[in-house]
Amino acid sequence: MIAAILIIVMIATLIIQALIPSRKMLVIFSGATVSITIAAILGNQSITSIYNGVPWDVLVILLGLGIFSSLFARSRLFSSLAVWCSRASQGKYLLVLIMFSSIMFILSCTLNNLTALLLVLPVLLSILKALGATQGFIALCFSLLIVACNLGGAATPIGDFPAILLMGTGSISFLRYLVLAFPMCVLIFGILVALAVVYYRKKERVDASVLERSLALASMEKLYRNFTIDKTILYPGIGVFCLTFALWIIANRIGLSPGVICFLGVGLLMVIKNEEAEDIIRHEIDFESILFLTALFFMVSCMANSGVLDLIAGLMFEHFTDTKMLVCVLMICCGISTAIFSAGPSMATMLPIAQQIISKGNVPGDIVYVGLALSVCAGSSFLLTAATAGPLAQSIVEKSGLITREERKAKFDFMTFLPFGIFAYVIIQIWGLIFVLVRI
Amino acid sequence: MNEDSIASMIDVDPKTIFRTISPVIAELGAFSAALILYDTVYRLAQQEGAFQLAEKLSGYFPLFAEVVEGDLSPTEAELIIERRLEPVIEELRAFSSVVVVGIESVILDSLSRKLPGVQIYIISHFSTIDEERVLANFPSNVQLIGVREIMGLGGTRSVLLSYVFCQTQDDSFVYPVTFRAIGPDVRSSYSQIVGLNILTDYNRYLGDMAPLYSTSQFFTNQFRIV
Repeated sequence: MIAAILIIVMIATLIIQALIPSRKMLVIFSGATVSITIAAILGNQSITSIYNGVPWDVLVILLGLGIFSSLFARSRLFSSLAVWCSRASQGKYLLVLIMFSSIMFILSCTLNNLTALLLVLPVLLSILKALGATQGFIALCFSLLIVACNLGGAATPIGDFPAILLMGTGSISFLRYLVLAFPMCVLIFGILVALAVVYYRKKERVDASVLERSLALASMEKLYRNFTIDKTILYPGIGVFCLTFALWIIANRIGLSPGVICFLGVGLLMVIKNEEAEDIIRHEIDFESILFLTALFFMVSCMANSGVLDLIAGLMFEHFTDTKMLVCVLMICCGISTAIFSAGPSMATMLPIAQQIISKGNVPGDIVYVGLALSVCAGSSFLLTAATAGPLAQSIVEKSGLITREERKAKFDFMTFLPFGIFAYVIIQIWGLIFVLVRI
Repeated sequence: MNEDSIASMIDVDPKTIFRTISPVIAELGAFSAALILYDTVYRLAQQEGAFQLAEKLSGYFPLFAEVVEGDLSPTEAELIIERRLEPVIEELRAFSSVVVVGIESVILDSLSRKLPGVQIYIISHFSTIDEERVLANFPSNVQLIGVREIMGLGGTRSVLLSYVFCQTQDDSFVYPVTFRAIGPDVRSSYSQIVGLNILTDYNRYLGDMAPLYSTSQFFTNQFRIV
């Protein structure tokens, strides 16, 4: 009975926060408060056991990576890379598409993709403005960029929340995740880029004239004429980040948790670049998402302690006797719930169920976890609202006043993204399923 | 390069070229943008192509045609500007702050570099610019401000500076924002109002700028820059 109430509270909270995003913090904290009250008073759960269910390591890693991202942003690394991309693209649409999506994929592998988007998009918009891109190309380009962000995030254990959750909870080691997920994400990204190129060649074909291209490149050169990377920030940042990365790889051998390593890395960086770090922590850290996830973890912890997630896993076992089929169903459910509720809630809820299935079904956990991460990535790419990068890109394009070659205001919204999103979802989900079925 | 290939190179919709150059006009200034456009066209279609494009663009960007007729490459322009800015820099060195109305990167790049001890405030001539990008190209003594802040920055140690385009006798063109900036109230609070003259005479009416009659009444000093 208590378990049923907790499930209802959780689902209602997730639906309401998805319907009223402007009040999502209020909704999620109300949901957490109600869940904790029910679990503590009616379910006899102690507050300590609820606290213990929260993966604090994950929150520490998210905080630490946020600081790293902001510091790299201050060094103008992202903008400089984007300017380099514009130059290297020679003003050709197709190269703009390939280079910018590749750079987003690479940046999202290690850093916060929102920060990367915020700094790369203005440069991309400038080159698109100068070249006069068509509406079709703009839709294709931004859609591919969003999917590249999601795939980059899933490629490494520190790229995005689901992977951080897997590493932070000790479900999978840093190195194992990297070895399994990175090649898959690169492969899927390559396939999607190839398909985007084929689509562009068939549907768009329009390219800017030689004069427009030369002028666009000359303009970009002058608009960013004295734009240099701040090496005093970049070099210590890269040094500490590489050290942290190396420690994550050997975390199991040295017996340190990923959260502690992140603490060490960020602490060292704060000592070296204390002035910038102080300013970043005071003004730039995204505490909102960390608080959102904390409230969500409280709700999941209440549910896990009530035994309802074990019950769900047991029910799934009853219905699907074939473990492979069961894992596939879990992955598809995870993908769809991500599309509706976004990655955080989806992965936080599905992970305890997956853990039960892994222990009862005797399947290799690391394969299932990476499969789940790929499903979350597929779900994040399904709808524009599924991942935070989508609405951010939409708002940046709207505010930019970008005009298309057809002399209309450029549009990048839910419906513009939907066809690309469905396509990306199908491709990523299929490859995720193939990965799991082949490996189990 | 024969006439046909020049014609095909220049066979573009002037609207698309203006769209491409618009952000540059906004963030680097009309004269600086005209120099970039001239240099680009010259490299692709030589002087003949530049003349043809200037005619096409005269309704959208008349200053470009004036630059083409002046036959000034960016490199030459930079050399001339560098040389002619010297007396201006000497004059400005005595002040603690300079308020510049409008952006002309070919001038401001040099000015900000050579006056490291002077605080330079820039009022953009365009309402929508990427402020972060504009500032990232200048040293730390440069700041962007709104036109409303102009009064508060006045004083005996402050000088106001703006651009005067294509002056013919005492008539010229200025960025529309300059009109507000050199109004009688503002003039009284600055010890000097300096005009930097860019190009002389004109064959086309600069419709995208504001005409300024009796120019010399508005500026205490004028320097011919280009």
